[in-house]
Amino acid sequence: MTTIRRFCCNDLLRFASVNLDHLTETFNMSFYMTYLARWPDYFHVAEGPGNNIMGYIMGKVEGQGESWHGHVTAVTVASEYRRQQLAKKLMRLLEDISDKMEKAYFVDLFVRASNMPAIKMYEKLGYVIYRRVLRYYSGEEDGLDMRKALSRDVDKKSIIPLKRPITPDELEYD
Amino acid sequence: MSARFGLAGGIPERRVRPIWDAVDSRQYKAALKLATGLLAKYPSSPYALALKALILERMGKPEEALSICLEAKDLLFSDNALHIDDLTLSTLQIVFHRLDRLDLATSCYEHACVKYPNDKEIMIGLFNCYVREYSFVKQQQIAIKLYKLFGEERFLLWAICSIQLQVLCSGSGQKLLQLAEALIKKHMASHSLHEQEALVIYLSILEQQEKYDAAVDVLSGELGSLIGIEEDKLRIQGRLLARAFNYTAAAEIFQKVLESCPDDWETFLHYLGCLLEDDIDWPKANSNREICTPQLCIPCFDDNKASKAAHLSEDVFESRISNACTLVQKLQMDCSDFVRCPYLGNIEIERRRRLCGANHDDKFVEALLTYFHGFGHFSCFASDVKVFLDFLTQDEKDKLLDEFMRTLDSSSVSPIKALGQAMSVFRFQECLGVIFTLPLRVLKDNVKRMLEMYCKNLALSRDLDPQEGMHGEDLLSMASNILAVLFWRTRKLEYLLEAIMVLEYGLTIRRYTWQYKIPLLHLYSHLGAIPLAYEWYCTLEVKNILLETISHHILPQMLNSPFWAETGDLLKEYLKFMDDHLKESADLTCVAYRHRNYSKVIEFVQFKQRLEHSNQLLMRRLDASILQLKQKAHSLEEVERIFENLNNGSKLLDMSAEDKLKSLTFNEDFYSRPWWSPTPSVNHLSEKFEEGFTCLNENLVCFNSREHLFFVEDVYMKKQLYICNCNAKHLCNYYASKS
Repeated sequence: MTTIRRFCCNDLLRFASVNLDHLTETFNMSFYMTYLARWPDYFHVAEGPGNNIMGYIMGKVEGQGESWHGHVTAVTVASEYRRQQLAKKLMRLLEDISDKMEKAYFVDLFVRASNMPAIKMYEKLGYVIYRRVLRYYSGEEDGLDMRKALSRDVDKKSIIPLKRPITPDELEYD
Repeated sequence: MSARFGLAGGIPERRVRPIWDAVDSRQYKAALKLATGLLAKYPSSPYALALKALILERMGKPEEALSICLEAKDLLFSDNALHIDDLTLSTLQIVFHRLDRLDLATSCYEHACVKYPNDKEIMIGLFNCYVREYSFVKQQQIAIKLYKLFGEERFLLWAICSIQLQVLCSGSGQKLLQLAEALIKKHMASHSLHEQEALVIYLSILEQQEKYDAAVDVLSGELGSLIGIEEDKLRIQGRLLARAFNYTAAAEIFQKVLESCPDDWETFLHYLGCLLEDDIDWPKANSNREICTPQLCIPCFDDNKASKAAHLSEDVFESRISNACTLVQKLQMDCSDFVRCPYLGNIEIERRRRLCGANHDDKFVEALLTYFHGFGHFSCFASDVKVFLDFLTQDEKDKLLDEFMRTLDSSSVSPIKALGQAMSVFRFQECLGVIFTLPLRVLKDNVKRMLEMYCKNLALSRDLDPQEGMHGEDLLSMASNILAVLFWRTRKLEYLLEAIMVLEYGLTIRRYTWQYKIPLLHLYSHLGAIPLAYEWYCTLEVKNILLETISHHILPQMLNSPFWAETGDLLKEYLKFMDDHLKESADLTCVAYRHRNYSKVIEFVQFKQRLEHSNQLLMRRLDASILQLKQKAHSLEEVERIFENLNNGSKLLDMSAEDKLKSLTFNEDFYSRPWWSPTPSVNHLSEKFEEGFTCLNENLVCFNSREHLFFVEDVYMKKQLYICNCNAKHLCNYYASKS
């Protein structure tokens, strides 16, 4: 039961039940609003009956040339609405927008190397581990840069895994 | 970044870059040294002055920074031969902004615009100044000027947004909308429109004037292709048609949306509303949500409105309902296991039938049963169907519960599904309110069963990550809810202690579960164990916007407690968050303008207004002053100083002036509060069961309707305003008696 629509500021006042979750970060206002101001098509919310917020996805599109790609910054689902493939639905939306509207080459995301449930989920959705980013999370935990090629990357060049890990300062984009 | 290093005031880049590098790496002392050296070489350069001022401000020397900025400003105004560049102006603007002197930044840009009337960058800078000052009329004027000079579509849209802001935020007349429409039409005649956001703004201008047919024509024409997602376009089209009372066409459009998005519940309700020609409760044309996100609202569940379908003849009504049934069946056939909308749709269809007097009672219950068989194992089952329960008779409720139980007993599904179904039945009972009427013995048995079920099923979550939610998690929250009822009904304290132990136990198994922490902190608060409550609150890591929506869980108790230092920290963090946002919000509006996301411009301004008028913000400003007075009560001098800062108390009275109170907003999220304390000012556990139950019963009726929030807000607001006025008066009297 999912009405998916663009996220708007008022949703920030209604997403507490999603964001109180331990693994969901509540960013500062300028972070959310910069995403809304720059990439409104990459910020969607799923609503259930009674206008309950079920979850949301935020992301952006950036890069140059063959690095032009969609990026998933956060995707989260309230505990009440888990195990219904909602995250998959939200990810598909972002991939579709990146593929069809933005003509991007791939979609990428970062995930904690220890977050096995999330890594497994992304693998099921077709993402591969492209590279490891050493101490990406607060200088402590490694991050995995996972990618999925889109139709424009015919030869799937963008997802050929790198052989060596990189450090955060080697990242092309934050 | 390179824009920072142009040849500002004739200073070469190599001299400026090290200063900015030092500022960026927060080496302010080094930066100041370099800036002072630069100023010695270019003593009459406003840019060198602006740089020095910027560094001084960052170093926490606002007076010195302001003085140097004013010196730079004087130079700009007095030396006619001096070239004024955008880099100097923008650097000065940054400092003036941080010093809360936007007016001075604006006057610098205004002066520059007079001097160089056709300079695009400087004019854009002035436009941004007006955006930061929320001067909508001046924004419009400079945008029009830019449009006339350079003919770019974005400048026209800036002007249109400025007009909309005047109408929406300053209450300016509708005639301005006609002007906006004429401006866009004229531009379209020669240049058409090229961006989705431009089209969305044009449509909203038409919609605000109730020119729905015209808007539909625009959307159906070539311009419609600007809307990137086809379903979004159809949803807007459906809304416009419905608003124009063209229900048949609207229903057809909504049906198309459902065929490609079968799980879209909101669209289903619109489809049914249009099919039955109900009086759909659309949001007002000037509401934030609609302007910003062209989408739809949920029709009201109110009996009176829904029953208006009775104006259709019985035959027509039945034939339309039959169409809806056909669609729902088709959607059910085409869908995967996770798509609930067509099944919930069945329940809604039966509800509508019932409202119109059709005698299909069994079908309503059957639809609910089918839904349970399909989705009873989902955590959201009870909240999905909650809204329908008011339409059941007591016999039907009993029958449903019996059927659910029978299903549980005979079910041969997997253990995870069986657990999910059992929990849904418990939640369903909770929604029906039976926990307030069942015999104590049954309640105790239920608690026992829940705890046994929780322990027995722990193994199901063995392979889950410890940070993930686990199967059966809610059983402990529900058990603690019942234990609180048992306490309320018997006044036996041990039930409350057991409720606490149940939640503490859950937190040893899963230490991050917020659904345990919140009831736990309220139970501790009720027992007066504020430090424990505060400790659990801290583990929730409430920050940023959650401070506005969630801090009500702890702040009211803390304000009444002797823990002044911790309370002071909470208040400080909240007020800082709000002040920072109110200060930086306009900068983000500038970003939205720059990236041509015009709908977000309107949204940001309205959101800033919403937070600015927050009831909580007002209350916490008052509380902060009162807390200061408490903390400094031992020193008359300090108390007097606090009053001086409050304009001898009149500042507090100004804050609670009637005109300000009229526009208060209520942003707290009360849904996560325990049943026995639906708002900070209500605590049923402090009341006797008989008295509280009557009150709760009344509230429960409201709780199941969409009116609930407004009811809570209304009661809460009245109490808060009363306290607020009392506090302000109290402070004034106190000061009067001292002097």
